[in-house]
Amino acid sequence: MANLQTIGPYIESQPLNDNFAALNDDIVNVPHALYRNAIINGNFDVWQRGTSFDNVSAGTYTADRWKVSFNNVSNNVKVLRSTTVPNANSRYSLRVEQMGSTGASGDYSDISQPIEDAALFSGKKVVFSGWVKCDAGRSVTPLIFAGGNVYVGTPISATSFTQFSFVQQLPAGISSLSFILRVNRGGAAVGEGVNIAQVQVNVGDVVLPFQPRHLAEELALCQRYYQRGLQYRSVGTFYTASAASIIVPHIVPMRIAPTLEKLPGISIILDDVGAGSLTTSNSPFNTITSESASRFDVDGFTGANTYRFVRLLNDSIYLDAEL
Amino acid sequence: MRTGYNHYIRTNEAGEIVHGFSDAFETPDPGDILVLENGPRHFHLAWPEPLTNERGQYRFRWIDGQRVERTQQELDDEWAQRPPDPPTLEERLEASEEALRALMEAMNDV
Repeated sequence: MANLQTIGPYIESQPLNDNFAALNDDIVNVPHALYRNAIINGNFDVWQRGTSFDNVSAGTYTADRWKVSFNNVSNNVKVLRSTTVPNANSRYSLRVEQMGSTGASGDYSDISQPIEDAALFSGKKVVFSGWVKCDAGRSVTPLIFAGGNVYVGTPISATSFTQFSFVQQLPAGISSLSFILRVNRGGAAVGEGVNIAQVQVNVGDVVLPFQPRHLAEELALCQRYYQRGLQYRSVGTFYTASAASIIVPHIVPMRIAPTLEKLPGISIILDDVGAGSLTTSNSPFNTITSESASRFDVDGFTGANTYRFVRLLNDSIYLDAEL
Repeated sequence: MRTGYNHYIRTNEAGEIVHGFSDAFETPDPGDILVLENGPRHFHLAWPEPLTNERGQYRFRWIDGQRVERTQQELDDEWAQRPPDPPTLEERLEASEEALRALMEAMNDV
């Protein structure tokens, strides 16, 4: 304390107060929520639908919240989870590679994430960033679809993980917004592709350090749009010897009343105490869904006990509330 | 570039609409009817009315490219003609006992 000097009574305090007032004003009026990452699963931690997808057709979701929104020539494209990452902030990246045959001239695939509440970003400047690693000859172009407008960033073709950033002023009044990574597959040999990691969108024009979310938080955010693993929590009763009605409480409330479907190629298995496990390959019907719970009927069983309490025994149902 | 999804319905022999879906979730069969192009991802966002009522009856028919709601009278008539419920275990036991009793009485008469 001996080195401290008295400032004295002559300090001009008014400018100091003005500075504090301005600083306070900045803090109060900054849209903090929008500075956080608007992208869900930008670190590719959550893959509820699987970890490898062949011949992905347009409109198909792969890693949670990420879909192949467009294939320009063909769907000779494979999307998979990769452990090749840029740094210790990630466990996985999303890899997009050519499959089946060499990519035709001009072929590309758009990997995109639509944003639920586009209006929040109307009239704001955003920075779209991430890390990309390309096999030789491949490239990735960041794009932003905002309403009817398309904004194109600079292609990245670096063969080691490189961070890109794309700053764009968005127009006012937009009702849809998607962030897209266009993977060039023209001339790509089978197996050639790109890795994408740590994708982030923030309001402003400064690339903020990538902030991974806790897995529990990221999973819950993803489950607002898609849920699997509904076995054991889903219960119901047989209303005939061959048909059951099942209630499905959602793990977290969903964006909208979801579409409930059976996973392709998977049978539905119910347990009926006394009759044992009962299986049907039939699809659900009489489906009613809401944001917080769903129900469905399914038939095709044999030997069930009518009005017996049953549980869903296997991971055979999914709920989709994606954009 | 296509930005939406196609919506389809499936009808039975009576023309009743038994299923509706978007191609985000199912691949249409040859007989399925395209009812909406470039629609939302979820069928129920474009067609929010349930296809069945609380009794599980199909509510709509597809006639000349139009959705026609079945009348309540039509639904009630169909409901009245449904097959009777199968007998309960108690009813089956009672019937068996009655049959056995009748058989025993018949044997006594021989």
